[in-house]
Amino acid sequence: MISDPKNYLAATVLNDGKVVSYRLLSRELKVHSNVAKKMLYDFHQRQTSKKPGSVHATYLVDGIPTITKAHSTNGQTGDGEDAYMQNSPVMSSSLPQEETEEYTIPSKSIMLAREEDLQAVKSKFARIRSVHIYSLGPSFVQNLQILSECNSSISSNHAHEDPLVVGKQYGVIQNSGRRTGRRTPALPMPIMKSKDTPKHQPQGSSKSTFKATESSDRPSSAENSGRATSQNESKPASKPALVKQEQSDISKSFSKPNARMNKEKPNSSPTVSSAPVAEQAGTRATGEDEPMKDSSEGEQEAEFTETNKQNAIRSKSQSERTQELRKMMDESDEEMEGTGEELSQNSEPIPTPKEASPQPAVTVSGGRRRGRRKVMKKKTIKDEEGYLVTKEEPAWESFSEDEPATKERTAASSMAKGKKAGGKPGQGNIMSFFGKK
Amino acid sequence: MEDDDADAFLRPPSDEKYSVIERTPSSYNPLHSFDLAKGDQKHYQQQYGDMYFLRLAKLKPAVEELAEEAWGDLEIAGESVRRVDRVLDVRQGELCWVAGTVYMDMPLKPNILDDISKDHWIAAPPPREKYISPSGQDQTMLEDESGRLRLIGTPLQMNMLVTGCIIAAMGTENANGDFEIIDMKVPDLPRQPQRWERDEGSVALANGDGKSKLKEHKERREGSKVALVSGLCINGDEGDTLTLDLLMEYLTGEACGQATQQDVGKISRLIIAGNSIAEGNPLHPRAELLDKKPSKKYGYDSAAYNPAPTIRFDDFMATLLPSIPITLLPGEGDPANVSLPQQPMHPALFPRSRNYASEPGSAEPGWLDSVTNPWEADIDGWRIMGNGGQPLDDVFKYVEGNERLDMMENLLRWRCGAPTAPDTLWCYPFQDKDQFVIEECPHVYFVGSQPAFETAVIEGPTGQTVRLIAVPKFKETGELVLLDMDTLEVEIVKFEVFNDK
Repeated sequence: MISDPKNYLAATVLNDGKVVSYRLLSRELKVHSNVAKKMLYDFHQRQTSKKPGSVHATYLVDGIPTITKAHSTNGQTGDGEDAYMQNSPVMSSSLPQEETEEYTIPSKSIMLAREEDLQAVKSKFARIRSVHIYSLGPSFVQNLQILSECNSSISSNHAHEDPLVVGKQYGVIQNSGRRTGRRTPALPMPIMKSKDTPKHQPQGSSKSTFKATESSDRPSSAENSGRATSQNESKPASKPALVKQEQSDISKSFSKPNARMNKEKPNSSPTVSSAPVAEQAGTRATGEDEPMKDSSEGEQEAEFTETNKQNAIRSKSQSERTQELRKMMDESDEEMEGTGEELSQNSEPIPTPKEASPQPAVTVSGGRRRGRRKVMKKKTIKDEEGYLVTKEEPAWESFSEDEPATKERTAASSMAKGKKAGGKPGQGNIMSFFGKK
Repeated sequence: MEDDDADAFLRPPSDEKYSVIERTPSSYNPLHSFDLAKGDQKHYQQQYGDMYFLRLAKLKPAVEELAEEAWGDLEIAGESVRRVDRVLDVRQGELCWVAGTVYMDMPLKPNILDDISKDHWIAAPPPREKYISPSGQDQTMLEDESGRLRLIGTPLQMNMLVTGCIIAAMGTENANGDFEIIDMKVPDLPRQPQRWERDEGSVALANGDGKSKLKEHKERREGSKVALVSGLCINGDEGDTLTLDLLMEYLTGEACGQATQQDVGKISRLIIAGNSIAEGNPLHPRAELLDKKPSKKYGYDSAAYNPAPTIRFDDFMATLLPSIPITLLPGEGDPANVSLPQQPMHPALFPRSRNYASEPGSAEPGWLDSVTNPWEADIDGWRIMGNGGQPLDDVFKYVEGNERLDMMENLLRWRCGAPTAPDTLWCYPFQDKDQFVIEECPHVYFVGSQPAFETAVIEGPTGQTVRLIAVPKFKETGELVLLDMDTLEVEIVKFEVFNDK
């Protein structure tokens, strides 16, 4: 971490050619935003005295504008949409106007301007309350809109910081009355977890967390972000297993080494460093998902590293539990999709006979998989009183890999099928869970 | 002119320590008037006719009382004015007054019966800006459950009227069968609660002892302000969000000088009045849907949905929420139901901000309070009522001119927050009660997504005063409205990016 503002600014602005705003600087250097504004000024002064034009600043001017526009006049702002069929203008009516007193509304203006325009902007103000540098960049900023880049990089790179803790440091106005309705450690994080990393998160770990104890769900989620890349590779391999039981077996065998590697990694690089590492890996893997990353994830990781230190011994049993949970999750998914049965069986770690039965006879011939499986079929009959009654009955049906998606097929194995087509392992798993409702 | 410390930040860093600014707390007590029943309890089979009936039943006594007062012993040319109960009881040539519901018969107004009878199943014409017919074919009717009267006369030109408002009209029926009106009355502003009335009432109810009252009073900090913004229209595109960033930095108290930061610390709540997300409405034109080949993928098709706007909006709120509580109203373009009252946007749309929402089922309002549109609440003791702009935009189509404030005023004087529902404004078919009838006069009435900022104060017959605020679209104007909770004065803060070229 570069803590010296000059070095940081020289490296980012001059070498990397990036734009740095006071807000970004305060985040990077962990200083008050007001200090960051001064740092920008200081750097700007030094650089321009050394070499004029080497850095370009934008200023934020805050004050009371000269021309207070006559508000509360008519509200027509040339809506030039031709979508409206304008009627011919009506004669202005003689509505008895209530005394809408024409007093001037106090108005403030906050304007962002390039340094070249600073004087022009200042002349628009009757009274200037403050001027400060908003950002520094290596060259003339053609389109000021790119400055919002700084804030989006804050929201992606500093998302793991808890705003409730670090906000004070940056000069964010504090609020003691703040209530965070759901900020209980167990619930919100896992939910967001599943949103963050849906791609490399085939087995419903989000669901596991509902049942999981805290200690077991932490390692599993840290695993997700930390080992995202390796899971991405390993998961497609497990995918072809059409029959669910098999799939979970395979994924079990794959994930075991994963879990172990995982477990070792945080241990070898303890505490502080491991969090950023995991963070980075996650960021890389997620790519375009970056903005979704959120603070609680970061927290979670931080917490994880701590607990991990303490629980280095316990972690073995943890990984086993994660294993078990994952198995459990597979089952529950199937039940949802196949039979729509209650989730009540989730708690049984051993596969129920129903799930076991489809397992037999999956053969691979000529690159196709064929086999028989048990599905629940709906039967609608008319009973004695003339009502329609729908019953679900188990039935066997044969299937093959490239058979066109029949009704039963989509019902029973849509998950596996859709997944492969999309090339995104596992995502459909979660989505179809929601879709079902 | 520059303040002394205007360039305080145009200096090299020193050892100066900046004190932590603590935000003024907000006393907040929302009413849940517009919450609809959930799930199975919500039905759409009912007829809309009941709403008109209920509205008339509710407002007729109010308007009749006013009319009685004004015309009770009025004599015109020796003939005393008689009260008539039903519209059909009006006799030709007889001076009388009657109360009923206004119906505007406008040829340009969309009419479902016309569409069906003429078999108009072609693409709908573009929406009209106004329903007013240039050739003067519009007719004003007064109706109740018995029948209809055509109204004519100068008071119609003097007063703003739309379908669905309740009035009392005085006049005579002429030879053509038209009711020639001489004067008319609207229900006017209802009773206005005292400041803090409801909060005190609930405290007294809760545990009649003085202790919690003390605590309640502690919350009543002076000098608090409420910020109103509308029409953020976040579309997820990079490239036009800079003013939004400035707004965010302003509200968190990071931007600007220390004096401004102190001022910002007084803003105790942000109300987002609709249209936060541009094009959040996922309705595609029919042609587009037909063109699209059915996806082979099962379930969720990520290509059909652009998450960027909600992510960006979530980011925006999640940055603000640690510092300031937010009340979020849905608007026309937001991902909520289309018909009024729009129900709260679900917190699940905002994975980061939802931490601050209240738990489902808990009675306490969340720090991020996703509410209905329209919506009302007691903030710092004042009754605040507002909507996302649809009722006003619809009234706008009925009347001449652009005076949005007049229309807002009339909505209140009609005692009906959305008179044109269910005629030309989509709404839920209420059965037991027309929820849009305003029973208690608010102190502040705001309407979101308006073309420009406007404000005024109106007064009622019994000394009610209401601050009207038309909140402009932030996306177009860059304006944030600040409402002083001591004086109910408003000011605006405009965010701009200076661009000469």
